[in-house]
Amino acid sequence: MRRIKKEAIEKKLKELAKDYRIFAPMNGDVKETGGEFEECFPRLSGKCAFLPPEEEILRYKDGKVEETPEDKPIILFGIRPCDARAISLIELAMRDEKFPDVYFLRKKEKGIIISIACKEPGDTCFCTSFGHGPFSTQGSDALLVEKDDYYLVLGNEKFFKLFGEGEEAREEDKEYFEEAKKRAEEKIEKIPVDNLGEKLLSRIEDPVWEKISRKCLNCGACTFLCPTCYCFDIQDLERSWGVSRRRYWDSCMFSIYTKEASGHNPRPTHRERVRNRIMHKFSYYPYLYGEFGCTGCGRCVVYCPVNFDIREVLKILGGSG
Amino acid sequence: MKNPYLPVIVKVKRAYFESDDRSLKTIDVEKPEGFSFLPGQFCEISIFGRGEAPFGIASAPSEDFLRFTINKAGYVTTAIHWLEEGDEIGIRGPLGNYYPVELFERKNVLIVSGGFAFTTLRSLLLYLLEERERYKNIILIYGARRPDLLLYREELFELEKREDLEIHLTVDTEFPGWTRHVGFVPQVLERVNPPAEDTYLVMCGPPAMIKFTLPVIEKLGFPPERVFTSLERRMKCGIGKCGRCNIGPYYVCRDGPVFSLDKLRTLPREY
Repeated sequence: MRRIKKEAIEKKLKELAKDYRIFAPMNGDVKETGGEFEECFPRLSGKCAFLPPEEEILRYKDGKVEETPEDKPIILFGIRPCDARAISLIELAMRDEKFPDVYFLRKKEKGIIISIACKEPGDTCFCTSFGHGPFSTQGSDALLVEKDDYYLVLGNEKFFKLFGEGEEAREEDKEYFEEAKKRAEEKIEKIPVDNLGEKLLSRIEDPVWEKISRKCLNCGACTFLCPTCYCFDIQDLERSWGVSRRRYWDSCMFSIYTKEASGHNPRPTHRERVRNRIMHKFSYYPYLYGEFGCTGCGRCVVYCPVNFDIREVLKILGGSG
Repeated sequence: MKNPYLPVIVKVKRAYFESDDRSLKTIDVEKPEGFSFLPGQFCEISIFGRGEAPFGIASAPSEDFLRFTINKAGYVTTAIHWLEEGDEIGIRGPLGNYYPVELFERKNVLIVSGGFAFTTLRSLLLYLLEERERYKNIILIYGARRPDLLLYREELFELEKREDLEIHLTVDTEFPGWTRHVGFVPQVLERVNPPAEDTYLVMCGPPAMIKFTLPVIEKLGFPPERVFTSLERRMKCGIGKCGRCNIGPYYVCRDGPVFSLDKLRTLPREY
């Protein structure tokens, strides 16, 4: 563990804005900044750095297809460990030998993710249910813990090369780290997830889905704010010079997401759509990649306009009842 | 890292209407160099400025062009219907899996189809006929509402003359000059009464045909692991990334479109 002056990191971040695109929490959302950042749990998660809400993937110009050129590498700074971990979960789906999602992976490979430990978790957090927590380093190149005017840093070479090594952490720093970690973890509600994937699968035709999904408005807020949701739509925009093919965040909560040209919709009602969202995160994801597609960040609980609480759903479906 | 989102530009070699009502159009396009596929796979066709949509490949792997037959239904398919010889389009592929042709060796193959779902089955049929001796009996049962809605009918009429192949074509109701079967596909299937033993069944058709054919298949004694079908879903990326075409943990674009009936029975009915 190292300790680096806050000032030094803040200054360095502004300098790096010349060669990097800096994404950080600002005015409540993760967005591109000139190196400034704000200490907060942002509404829009860190995924927007690597999977932007809108992104050009190719151009059709003068009868030829051109790949959209790469931009500067990305530094994603100051997100919570749950968001850093979420990006590594998205990577599981994007990293694919046969069909790699090059636009996500190129950004990810050149990018740097620096998270700040979550000393004061909220009452909608349930990250510890998934085997990680407010101080976890998974998916981060560095984890920073605030202490007075210092950051205590658990980082890799990539981080120290850019931000400097600071000094060796003191014994009292390590104690502080452990205590703060313990205190934060104790605050977080743990939801039982043992065999959750299998339990959900066995209840796929359960009438309870009808009840669970009844109040959902299918507004999609949960999926846009979710740090692990990555679904997208592809659209062509006609420009004076040709065609710009772009991808946009999409949501499995929308009826048109699966509606076919014939009018047929394989997921026609709230029941199938809500079920698919829950099943994808807690049954299909573990089946495909060995990890739940949820970090327990609680955004979908906080921002749902009708108070749909995924924790309650998991308790109902994952429990014995 | 190879970019799987980039289409290849190809020229349309031929474009013509299949059906009298002009609802079905076939396009034969240039086959890009090194393009190799097996029957059942599909391509994403780009009409730049309009978008991309997935279509099964109807040409045989050995033919020197790629064929697609497209029903005019939405935004992209409407633009495909405007295509003329010489126009340029983008294609990405081959995508998806294929009919398990390696399992068919030394077995009987029964192909059951209805309407314009026959596209990839033309590819399959021609593929099987190329090395005919590898397979036992090959039977095709194919129906449509009217004779003009039977895809590639002239070619099928020619194939009917072959002795190493049994073809049953049917239309829903009597038509002047039509001398083949009359009736729905499941009825004809029952009438033909093919043996289920040692036979693989490949079935593609509209939902109504599938619904009424399934009980017949069961009655004839086909076990679900020897029945294969190709599914359709709304798709965007075609490579298992954009999310929409999943059925359970499987993506129709990447893990399908060909599924066995016993696999489908373990999945939610989202198709």
